[in-house]
Amino acid sequence: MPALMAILAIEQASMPLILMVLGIIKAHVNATGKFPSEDEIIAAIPIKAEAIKELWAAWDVTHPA
Amino acid sequence: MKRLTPLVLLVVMLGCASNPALSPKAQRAVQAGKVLDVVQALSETAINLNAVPSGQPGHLTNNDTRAVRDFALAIIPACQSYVDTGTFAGIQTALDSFGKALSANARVSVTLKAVWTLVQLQLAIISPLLANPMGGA
Repeated sequence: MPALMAILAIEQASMPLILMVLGIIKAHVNATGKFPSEDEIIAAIPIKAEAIKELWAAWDVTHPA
Repeated sequence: MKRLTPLVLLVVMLGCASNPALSPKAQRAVQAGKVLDVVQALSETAINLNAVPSGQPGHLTNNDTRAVRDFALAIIPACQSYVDTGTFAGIQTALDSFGKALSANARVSVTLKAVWTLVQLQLAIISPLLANPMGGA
């Protein structure tokens, strides 16, 4: 729970980031029945990178070099 | 999730009031998450501009769109490295490459510059020393 507070209480936390962290927490709680640690939340944040990769992979299909 | 919502709101309010310390790695992860958010917006913008028919205002060429793509894909491991080690050399390298690859026409694209400003704002939180390849956006 302190980890959740720390992540969400940062003054500049944007709503998309808060929603992302909540999504991570929900998935972790559903999978394990426990709240994730700070490290587990940090490890899940780069999931955002996958959305960017998928975006460009789709563009590459229609625009081969 | 519905049961969690009131609890989360309470925790946020308590957290804001107590201003708890955030570990350096957690701070970097939050910053990197924000950078990736705006890089995703930049990517979507570039793809949309590329879809504008060639010859019409706002069109982004395939080469310039690839420059944005290469930057977006390079910034991902650079951000991960920043979270893990605190160094932003990889981010600077990605910015330098982007600056070299982008054409003069793309640099003056109003739409691209507007979104780039958001990227620059997030990167400035990591370090105000990071170069701006768009040139004073």
